[in-house]
Amino acid sequence: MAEQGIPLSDDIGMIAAASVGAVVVLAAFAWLGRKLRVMLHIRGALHAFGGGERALGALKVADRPGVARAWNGLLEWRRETSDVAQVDKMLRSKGGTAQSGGGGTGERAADALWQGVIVIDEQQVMRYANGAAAVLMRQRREALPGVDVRRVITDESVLMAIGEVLETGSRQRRVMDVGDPKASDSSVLRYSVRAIGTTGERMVLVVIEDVTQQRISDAAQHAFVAQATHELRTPLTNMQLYVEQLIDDELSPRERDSALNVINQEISRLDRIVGDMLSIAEIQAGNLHAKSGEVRVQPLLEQLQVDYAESARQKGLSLEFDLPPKYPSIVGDREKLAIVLHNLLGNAVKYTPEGGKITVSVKEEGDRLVTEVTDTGIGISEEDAARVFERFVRANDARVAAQTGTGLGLALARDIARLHSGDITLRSEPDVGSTFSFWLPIGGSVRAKAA
Amino acid sequence: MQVESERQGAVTVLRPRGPLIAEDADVVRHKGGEAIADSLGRLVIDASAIVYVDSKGIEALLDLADELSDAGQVLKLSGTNETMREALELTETAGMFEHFEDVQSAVRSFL
Repeated sequence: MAEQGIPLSDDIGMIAAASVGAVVVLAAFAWLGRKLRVMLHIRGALHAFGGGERALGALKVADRPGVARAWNGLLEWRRETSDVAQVDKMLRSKGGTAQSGGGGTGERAADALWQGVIVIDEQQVMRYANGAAAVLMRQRREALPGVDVRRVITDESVLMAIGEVLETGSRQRRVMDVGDPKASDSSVLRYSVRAIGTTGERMVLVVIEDVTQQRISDAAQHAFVAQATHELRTPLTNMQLYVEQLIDDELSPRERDSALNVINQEISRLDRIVGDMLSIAEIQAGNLHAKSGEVRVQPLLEQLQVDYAESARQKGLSLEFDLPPKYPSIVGDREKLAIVLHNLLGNAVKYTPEGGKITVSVKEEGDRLVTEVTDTGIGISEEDAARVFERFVRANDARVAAQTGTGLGLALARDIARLHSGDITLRSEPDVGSTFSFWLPIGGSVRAKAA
Repeated sequence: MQVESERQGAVTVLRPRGPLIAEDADVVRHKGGEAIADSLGRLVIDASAIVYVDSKGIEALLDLADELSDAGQVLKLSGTNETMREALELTETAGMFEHFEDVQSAVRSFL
């Protein structure tokens, strides 16, 4: 009976053995497959490296224990010993933590720069930012390292430049001026982007400069040239017209006197404009000086009355002088103080519509002599009032733009007042009028230079 | 203490009037801090109307100078009178600031 077949228990044993064998073979294949995949990935990374790829992210393989981890570790080690890392180390030198504001030599050197300096790695993560960078980007410095740059810089052109430099490793510096969206004023930041490091991981150096003041200065200079040309042309045109009349026409003695009077007024106007420009040039060069002598205020104001009586009458303005019977002693430069009074009263006449009223009052207030020029003119908005004493600035009002002017008069007037240890202040309401208060210390002295 | 604030171009000019002492120092410190934040550090202190300064006043100026120093900038003082200059020199703090004869020169230094 025993020869009739293989016992059932033997069949089961063989099947079990075959199954175990199959599982072992499959497991071995799977294990080998994983190993081979890692090796294939590393092989691919090596080919990519041979083809010029240097980006760490592209050369790394999926993290697994064993060979993959060792490969990634090798890349990381290479990154740490690269040129870029050496720069980074320099910035963190002597125990200073570059990211958080320590005291290393390199970091202290970077912190002495007024330009913002940031270093960005190929994952677009900030690796370093100096103090100026934090201020210019309106961030807390300690919060910057490790932050994705796209969370801090929002301008597309800058981000695109950073991305392109990281991708291509281009050494070309890319420069772009960007308005600061977080600024209450018209701040402009200049970003310069370029690659750093010669081998190993690519990084980008971004230098940020605040160029707002340069931009404003350039715009003001251009505006000044345009305004000054216009301002000089107007009296010249008038003079030319009346001189031609005097030459060509047979004028009556009265008409001749009138023409000569206009020419005389325009010459005075030109003289004042050129004087203002020269004084502004003196201020620009830091050379505005004032003579120091006793100034008799009464004749100064009487001359002012004479100078503006005719222009006020022609415009239908009421011009009143409220003057004291006696004046205290003032020390200063008569000619410079006359410029202040001319600018204040000239502006009042210029910007007060027909039928309006202008009052010039002088009074003693404690140890000050205060001259107030009040008009019922177009007035100045609060926003413009804060800026009218700046050079080259004119109020943002179409009625102001319609009048000639360089935007220098008030700046000059205040500089002269301060040169005499006094000042000029303004109270104004749009469409109601303005009061300019010009005060000088009684018996005061002239400072060495304009302030 | 009255502290006038004005813009010259992109630069904020603060002009404290009177003695810079005791509790007034906090006003200058506060206004200066605001100006630094608003103007990205473009700040000038026009000291021409500061009559004299005590240790609290100097401390306030030094605090502002430190704040600017973190951004690679130096606090610019203009028009300091002789009394204030002497106080800064006696306390050996004059070198912590940039000194200008007038506001215009200080403002121009930002160009």
